[in-house]
Amino acid sequence: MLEESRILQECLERIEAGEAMEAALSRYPEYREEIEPLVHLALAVKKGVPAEMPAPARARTLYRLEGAFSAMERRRLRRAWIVWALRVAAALLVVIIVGSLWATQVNSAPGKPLFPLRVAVAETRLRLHPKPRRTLELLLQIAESRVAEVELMEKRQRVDQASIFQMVGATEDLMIALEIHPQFADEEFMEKVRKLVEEERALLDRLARYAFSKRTRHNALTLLKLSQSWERVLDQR
Amino acid sequence: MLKKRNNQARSFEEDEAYLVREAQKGNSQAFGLLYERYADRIYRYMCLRLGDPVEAEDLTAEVFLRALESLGSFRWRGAPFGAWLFRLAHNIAVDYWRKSRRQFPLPSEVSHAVPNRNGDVEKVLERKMLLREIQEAMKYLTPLQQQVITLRFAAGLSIAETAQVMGKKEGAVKNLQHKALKALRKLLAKPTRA
Repeated sequence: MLEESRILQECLERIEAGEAMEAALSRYPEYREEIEPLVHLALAVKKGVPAEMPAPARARTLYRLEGAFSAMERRRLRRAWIVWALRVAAALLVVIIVGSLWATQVNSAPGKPLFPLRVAVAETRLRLHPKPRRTLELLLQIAESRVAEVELMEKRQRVDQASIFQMVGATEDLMIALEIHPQFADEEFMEKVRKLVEEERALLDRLARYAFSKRTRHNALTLLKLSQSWERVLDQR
Repeated sequence: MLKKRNNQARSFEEDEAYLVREAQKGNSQAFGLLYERYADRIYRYMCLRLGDPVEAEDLTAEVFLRALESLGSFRWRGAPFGAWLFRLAHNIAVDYWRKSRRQFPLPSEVSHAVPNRNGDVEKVLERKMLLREIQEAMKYLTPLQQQVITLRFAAGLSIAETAQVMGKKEGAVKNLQHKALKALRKLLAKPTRA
């Protein structure tokens, strides 16, 4: 059976290649009786099927295909728009989150969850700053201003929490800068820093004892304890 | 610009893989060329499967519409595009029969049919060469036998291409072709099959 199948196929291939049927069949005299009717049948099936699709049907199909293609393109464009919209929304979300974190870390004081981030940002900025001495002077000025502001509020008995945190945060930035660039702080500069720290701690002490709001007293006491870490920076000098 | 287009057109003619990639990217011209390449073969395949040239026109269109929808999922892994398209055509033809609730007779029914040994097959064939007649007889073949006859003699695929479409080895397809032709001959020799 296997041999007959092979011979049948070989004979069909010869005829498909253009050899006359009689010539092809005469090559296999032992199998002729078996394969001849099958070859006739195969050719009859071929002849029985229309050679090609009628032209109107072909045109109709092409028209339907063009319509389907256009619809697919529209869907593809819509999907592309959705993808882009999602990307823009995701980017905006990232900007909002980073922005919020940035805004929050700017005012975070020691003990707050974002304080390490603030320290890291301050350190990076200080290390990258081209004029460290000028940076130290600016930070000292800012810290002195914050202390002066809170003292003024204290006199007016209108001290708010945010101002206390900002004051301690500004001094903390100065301490970070001193740790990074100790060589740019001379004795005269350090004297000003010691005076600032003394003044600020005295202010925190007063607020911890006499502030009207219980919350202010609590925060001032906490920050006073945290400010002890500044001694380490001052002692290194 | 024209030169570029001519070059592109040449590439389209030469490289089917390139045509498929272009069509996948959304190039309708590339898909049109693929259609031109396969439309007649798919139509002939459908004609013999359904025995109705009008239905075959509709289902041929259906094959290409379905191919267009799922073209994105086609990958050149083993079987070429043509084999993929004929598998699609086979599935659509099977769905058509299922939906129209026309059942293929079981192979066992064929064994009950007694061939007319006295009949002259060739003469009978001359009378019964019409498409409907052959298709009617083919209903009594097994699904695999129907497929091999349709792919080989209606669609005009080679043994290697038929093997790729059917997922079989070439030797098995040759054997199946032989058996299918023998069975069909037997059926066409009978005056009635009902």
